[in-house]
Amino acid sequence: MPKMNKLVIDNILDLKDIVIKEDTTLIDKLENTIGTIHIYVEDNVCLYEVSMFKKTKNKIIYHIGKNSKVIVNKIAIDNSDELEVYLDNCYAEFTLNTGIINYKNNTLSEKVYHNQDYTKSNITNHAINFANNNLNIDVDVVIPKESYGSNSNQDNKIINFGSGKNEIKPNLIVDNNEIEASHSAYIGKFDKESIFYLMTRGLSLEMIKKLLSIGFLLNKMDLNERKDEVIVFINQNI
Amino acid sequence: MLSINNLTVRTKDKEILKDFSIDILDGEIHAIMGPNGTGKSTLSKVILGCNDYEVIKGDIIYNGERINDLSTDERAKRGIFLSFQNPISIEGVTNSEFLRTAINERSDKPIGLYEFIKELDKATEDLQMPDGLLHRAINKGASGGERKKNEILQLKLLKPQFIILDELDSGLDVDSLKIVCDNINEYLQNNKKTSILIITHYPRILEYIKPRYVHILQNGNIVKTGDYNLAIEIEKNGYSKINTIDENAKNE
Repeated sequence: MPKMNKLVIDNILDLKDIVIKEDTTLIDKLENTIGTIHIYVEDNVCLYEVSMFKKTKNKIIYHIGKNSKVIVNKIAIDNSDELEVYLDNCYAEFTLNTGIINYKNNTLSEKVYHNQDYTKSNITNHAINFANNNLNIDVDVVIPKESYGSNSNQDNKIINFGSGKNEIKPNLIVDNNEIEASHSAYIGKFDKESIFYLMTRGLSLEMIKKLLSIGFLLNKMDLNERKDEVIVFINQNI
Repeated sequence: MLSINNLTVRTKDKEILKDFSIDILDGEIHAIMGPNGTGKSTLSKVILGCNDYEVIKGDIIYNGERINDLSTDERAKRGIFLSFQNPISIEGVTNSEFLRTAINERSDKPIGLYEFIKELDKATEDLQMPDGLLHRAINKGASGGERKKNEILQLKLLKPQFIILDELDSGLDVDSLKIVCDNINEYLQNNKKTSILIITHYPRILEYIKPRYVHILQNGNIVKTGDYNLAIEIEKNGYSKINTIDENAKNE
């Protein structure tokens, strides 16, 4: 893999292993793909990723080096990806901000292994589920005895617009007392107060749902100059 | 502009407004005062069609149209604006996205970005609000006073005809209250037909925005109507002495 600081993946043929050797921005746009990709992030490197995935069933595996940081901002439309993250080196950090728009029955699986000291993970899954489809979000964070001083946080929310069955499993498997970890899960609707407030300003219910949805999906994301592109992608699919 | 006739409103287990009536003409300022729990904030939300409340009977007539069955957004689009007692914060929705959408929803012609930013900047400056508001989520991290200023900023941009100010003075320090009220008075100067309903516990705000009528609301109904002096009497004697005030007035 040649050295580069900007990488674009928009073709199934690009689904192969990647080695990140220097600070890199990775933009990936994939549709209807099934495949496995390993992303190896070497030591002391920052990987910033913006993903726009539609109807994908990929397995993406991150191996993060010492003192390296990976930030993934992902919009997932009808997505059943599997994600595995190996924090096998000290001070490795992984942040995942996922905005999920769901129209079919889907299961997302995310597994994070804190295999070294002082590793850190922040997982956010904000999903909107339409109609009568079932959405499952399974998150496993594993912090074994060997992982001293590590830190992990999970924030999982599904807003249900229909009557579909939703399930979140925010698992924390911890075998070390000297760590900090939190996990949360919420399944429900947008709160009535916000809707009433926006309606008093003349916004229709449909417009409010769209505004709140985009805000909810992008809330934790760090998109910088990619924000407009991502909003266009969401508007095309919501 | 707004007539409410014999309005009775309840929540699940309690009747809050009972045969409530009021007439507010174009350009008039009315104040409603009353102790806690008498239905003041309920009234403001019912005028906007909040479905937490059930209207048992009565009519809300706005500019000659019965609006009981209109949705909240339709009432707002007709020019009714509520400045909330406790404005909420909404994560992820920025002031610019929300306000520009709100302006466009009530107009046939979308507002241009340049024109919008110019208006927003002017309103922000008039209200002495910090820069950078445009890209901040609605009221995120804002103090009570900043939230109240944001309500008036929205008012200035949405240009309503009928304004309800629900406890505008709560959370505002003296200087901020003056700034906010100066902005409202300037708006009234430029929009002579605009009417205001001020809901308040204290007469302080009425020193800045002078009402033509002051009504005392107790147990879901107006029990006394007067002018600004009534508010001063309430400040002096309290609500519990209202009947005494009446009797004394009769004796005099």
